Amino acid sequence: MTLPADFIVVSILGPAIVMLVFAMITLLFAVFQVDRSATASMALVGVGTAAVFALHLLMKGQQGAAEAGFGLRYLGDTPATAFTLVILLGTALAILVSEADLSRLGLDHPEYYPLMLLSATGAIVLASAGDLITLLLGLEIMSLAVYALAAWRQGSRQSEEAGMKYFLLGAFASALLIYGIALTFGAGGRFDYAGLAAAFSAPGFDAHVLALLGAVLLLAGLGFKVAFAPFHQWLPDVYTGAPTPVTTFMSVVVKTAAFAALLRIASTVFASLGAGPLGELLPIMLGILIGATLIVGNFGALLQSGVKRMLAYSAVAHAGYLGLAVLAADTVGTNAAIFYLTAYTLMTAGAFAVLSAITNADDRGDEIERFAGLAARRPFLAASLAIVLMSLAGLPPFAGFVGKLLVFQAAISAGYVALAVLGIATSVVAVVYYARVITYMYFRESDQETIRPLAPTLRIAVVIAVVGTIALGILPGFWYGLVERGQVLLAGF
Amino acid sequence: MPGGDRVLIAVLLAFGVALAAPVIVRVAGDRSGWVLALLPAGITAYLLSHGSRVAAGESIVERVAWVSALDIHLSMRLDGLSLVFALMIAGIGTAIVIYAGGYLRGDRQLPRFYLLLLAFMAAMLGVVLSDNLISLFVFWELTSITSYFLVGYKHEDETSRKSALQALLVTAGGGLAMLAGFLILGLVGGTFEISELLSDPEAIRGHEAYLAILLLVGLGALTKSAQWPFHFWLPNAMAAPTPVSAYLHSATMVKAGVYLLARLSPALGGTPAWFWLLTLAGAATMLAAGSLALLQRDSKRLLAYSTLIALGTLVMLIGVGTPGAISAMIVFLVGHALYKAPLFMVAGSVDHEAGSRDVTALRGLGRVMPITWITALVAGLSAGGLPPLFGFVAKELAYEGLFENPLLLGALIAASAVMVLIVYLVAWRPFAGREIHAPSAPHEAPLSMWLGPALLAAGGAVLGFAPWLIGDSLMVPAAAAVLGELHPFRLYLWHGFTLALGLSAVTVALGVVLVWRWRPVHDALRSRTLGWTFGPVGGYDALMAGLVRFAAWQTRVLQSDDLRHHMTIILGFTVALTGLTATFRGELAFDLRHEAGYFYEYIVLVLVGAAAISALRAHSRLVAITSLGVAGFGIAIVFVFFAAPDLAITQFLVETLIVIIVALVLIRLPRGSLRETSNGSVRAIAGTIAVAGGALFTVLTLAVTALPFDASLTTFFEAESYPAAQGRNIVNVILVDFRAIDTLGEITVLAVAASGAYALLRRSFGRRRDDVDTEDRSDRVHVERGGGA
Repeated sequence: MTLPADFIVVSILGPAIVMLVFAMITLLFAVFQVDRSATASMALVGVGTAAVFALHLLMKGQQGAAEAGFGLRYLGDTPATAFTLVILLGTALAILVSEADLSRLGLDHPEYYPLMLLSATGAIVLASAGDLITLLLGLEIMSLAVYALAAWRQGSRQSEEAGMKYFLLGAFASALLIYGIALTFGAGGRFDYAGLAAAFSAPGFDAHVLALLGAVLLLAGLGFKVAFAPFHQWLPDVYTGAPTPVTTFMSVVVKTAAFAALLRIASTVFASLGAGPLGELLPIMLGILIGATLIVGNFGALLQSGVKRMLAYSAVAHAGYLGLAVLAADTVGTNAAIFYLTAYTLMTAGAFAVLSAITNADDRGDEIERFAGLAARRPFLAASLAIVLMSLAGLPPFAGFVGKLLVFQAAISAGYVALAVLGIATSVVAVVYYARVITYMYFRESDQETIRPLAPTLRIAVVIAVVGTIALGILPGFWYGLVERGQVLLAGF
Repeated sequence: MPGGDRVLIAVLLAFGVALAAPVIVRVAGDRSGWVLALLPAGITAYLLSHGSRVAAGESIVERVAWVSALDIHLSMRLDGLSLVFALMIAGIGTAIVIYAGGYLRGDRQLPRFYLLLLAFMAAMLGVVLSDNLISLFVFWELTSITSYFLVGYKHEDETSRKSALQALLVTAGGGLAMLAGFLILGLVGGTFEISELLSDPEAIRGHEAYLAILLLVGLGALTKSAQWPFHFWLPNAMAAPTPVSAYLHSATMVKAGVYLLARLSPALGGTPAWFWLLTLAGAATMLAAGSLALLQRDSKRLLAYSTLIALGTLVMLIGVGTPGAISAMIVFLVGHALYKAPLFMVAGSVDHEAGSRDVTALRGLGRVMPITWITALVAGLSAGGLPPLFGFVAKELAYEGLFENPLLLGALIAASAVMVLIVYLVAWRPFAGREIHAPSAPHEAPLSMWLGPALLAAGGAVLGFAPWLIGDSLMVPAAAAVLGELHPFRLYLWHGFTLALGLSAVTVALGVVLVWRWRPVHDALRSRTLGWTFGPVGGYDALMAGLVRFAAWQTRVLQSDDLRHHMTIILGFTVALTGLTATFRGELAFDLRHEAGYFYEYIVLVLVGAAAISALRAHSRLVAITSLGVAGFGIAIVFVFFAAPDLAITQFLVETLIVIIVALVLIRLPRGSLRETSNGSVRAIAGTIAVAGGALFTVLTLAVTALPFDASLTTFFEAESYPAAQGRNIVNVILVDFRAIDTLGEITVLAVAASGAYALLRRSFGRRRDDVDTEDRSDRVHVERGGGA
């Protein structure tokens, strides 16, 4: 038993290793009590360096020379690197929001940025995983750091409860996932997706039920991370309880990484089960989850009086739309999800950035009344929030519209017309709750005090988010074209 | 085509000017209406310059790749139909932009208003010029969004905000349905390019998804064009400023649905489903609007209902779809635009100068507002379908187009009679009379506010005498674009004594009767039907209330802060999903034959079971956690029995840590019994889920262990550890040789963890020092104070 020559491929580990190294550097900064904004800058440098490596990999994918290492257990193909870039974008935006907010909130402890970078490292591993063990490693690295970050506001019951709840339920979901991994391994005898898919579609394979049960548990464990209803229970409390910068990070980075993993499994392992007996069962279950998510997320957001909690439920709803892409379980669906998550990262980070500029130092004061007359007091913030909210609602010409268009198209061409129509119908509900905020900002007079000046880093974050939302909406072809011309490994099972 | 991107450039230029409008308004001040009107005027001229090419049957096609991977292009096509609509949008837009300058003179938000109005105009041009379904949809929803902000412009009052949201929900919601229809249509036709889809109609009409496409696309078109039962948003949208009502809600946006139906009729039309859907919706709209109009006395709402009548007529004519009906539709469309926009602007001028829109509160305004009155009369006569105006030509054609469908014709005659009444109420009653009655002292509107309506009304008069001016050059090519083939027709003011003329006379006679009996009928209806909430409006309200109720119910049921509640749902759902899969076809193979164990194994197992039961039955937390600890240690002992000391040691460590940590936590918890924290039903549910989950996972574990175990790694390490790594201790060889990099990683992790712990410790020591510092300081203060005393 000798290893093939190209077994260890270090280059594809570039982004993850860079993030890890910079996590260590910022940790050393913490040890030597270096100035916090210098730590934040170093973290941003790390994200930028990792992005350079990821871009290099993406370009390799464009030339059809995508690499994978460790026997297809760690992938450097176009979806993996594109998701890595989205994760890095989300991390950068979260760092910018954090830098502006943490000192105001009195939360600028030195270990914050190392934890965030470590979590992003885990997210990158998760997005690049081609093997169930790699997946678990990435998932836990990402999650453990986020558990700590969610409880960052020490002394606040809400935040501590958020961290604790997230940790307990997260550990529980990990248990389900690990059990699913064990069953899948039991059925297929392998951990790597390629091997599993080959084993499941082999002619003599007879452990279909066991493999399906493993798949269902995998789905439940990952469904927790991406917040499919009814596994979304933790999300509103955790998103509301965590400090807004952390919520920003969770809502964009954790979601992107979890969906990247789910999409990869769905298009390989799940797809290989689809051909066997009871193969239709898995799409049915996924369909039930997605339908429930669309309804629960959108209707849950409808009545929230707090904008932060409304955004939390809308995050659930968006998981439903992304689920449509998972259901399609092919390259078109994956590409649609990449685009959707890019748009989602920009507009959600933008919304939370504006929110953090408006709310009080203790993150309270996100009632919708506070947004009344914002257009007159702070035209820049109001216009920015209006644009990202319209984009979240899926209205053209913003990025969110193109994203929705792509996932609906993927779902319809994969034959899930009813779910796509449900998605479109619930989009109308979404228009109501997003438009409500806009109505308050533009059509109501203000009786509120003027808000504090906007911190420079927060302004940068808002500008990036808004410009990105508009640019991706008007010229979606550039990013989508890059993704679409890329190379997908492990496809075609 | 070379140099052919100019249509697209015109649209993009309009967007650009819209974005620059706030700056232009700040520079141009009160003259900004005139300055900004150069844009629509220029576009009008540009479009007219293409008139001859389009009249010759040519269509100007351009395509710019947008998302080429998805066949989504910014394709533009200027043919007969697009040209008529685009001319309407740009031409009437010119009048509106000038008018708005006078109407909203000095308004603080004028920059934003022009930004939105011009962006709307650009989007509207995009709708009628797009040759790609997706880009059409983008522009379509942009009109909804800009219209939302324009309707809510006078946002001080609650009604205005509510109407804005209602209009947005109905039209944007319908638009989303339309998007679903477009996606299916694109899938069926293999392209999103409209002209390619239209060239192969049979593939679409014959497809099994045809009905779904028709209904979804129809939903978008009918909501946008305010057809029954979605008509209610249009009268409510009259809360908008008058220039917006005149432009969006009579001349352009509401016609977008008509445009879409006309545009797609070569591909979707000509089937019974198409005929019934459109004629029924159109006729119902006409009749509903006609009867509801009798209740109104607000001039703008009256005009809104007359717009509904016209929209119903147009949709009905498209539904009929014969060459005669389509030709009539095109002519009626232009006629309506030429008289309705001036009437709206006149009503706005009256509101502006005399302070009221209540037609019963105004009299004698003609004496002080002569130009406005003449405009109103000319436009009104055209609206009432009287010769020698263009409205008459249009109505005669519409009657002729419906000769084969007497029922529809009857509905149109009834609705047209109401139109005569509306014209009387809006264009005659407030102006006639010797004495002036008005809330505020009226005077003539300024030039900017009468020029536009007067020109449009004059256009209606000129075309009445000389309809051939636009007959062959505009109307025939437009009808040809809808019909898919050329059907030449001629427009005449005087047809001779025909059946249509007789019907016109009947219509006018009916209208006169309505005018004569209006007051008593109106008062009687109003007194009886106030508070009437049935029908579509009630349906919308009920739907909204229902959605809110559903959301409230769902939020109540699902949104709990209780961790146990969350666990119950998550575990319950997972068990249900897996149980479902397992029972679907329960062919889980497992082998229960095991060799009998030693007696001490059974003792440990009994101990574990007893500890589990004890944990369940425990009243105090300490007993419960200790029992769980016993169970855990028992399992660790089982690992020892089965020769897995490493697992056992890990388990021992973990169990010890858990017991210590939980005991530490328990100290800080308030005293209390476990029993008090849950009631019977909660325990029953939890128990059921726990038993089901436990049973399921037991079965699954048995099933997995029944499968053959892959021992290739074990044999590999056994065989290779000495020859390849020169080591006899296999575990050592694995750690330092085969998996050296793993071990290096583990050491690194330990180092990182240590430095993290060091950072934490250092911080907490630092903090303690800070604490001490502050204590010192407070002491010092205390001492000083003592010293002072």
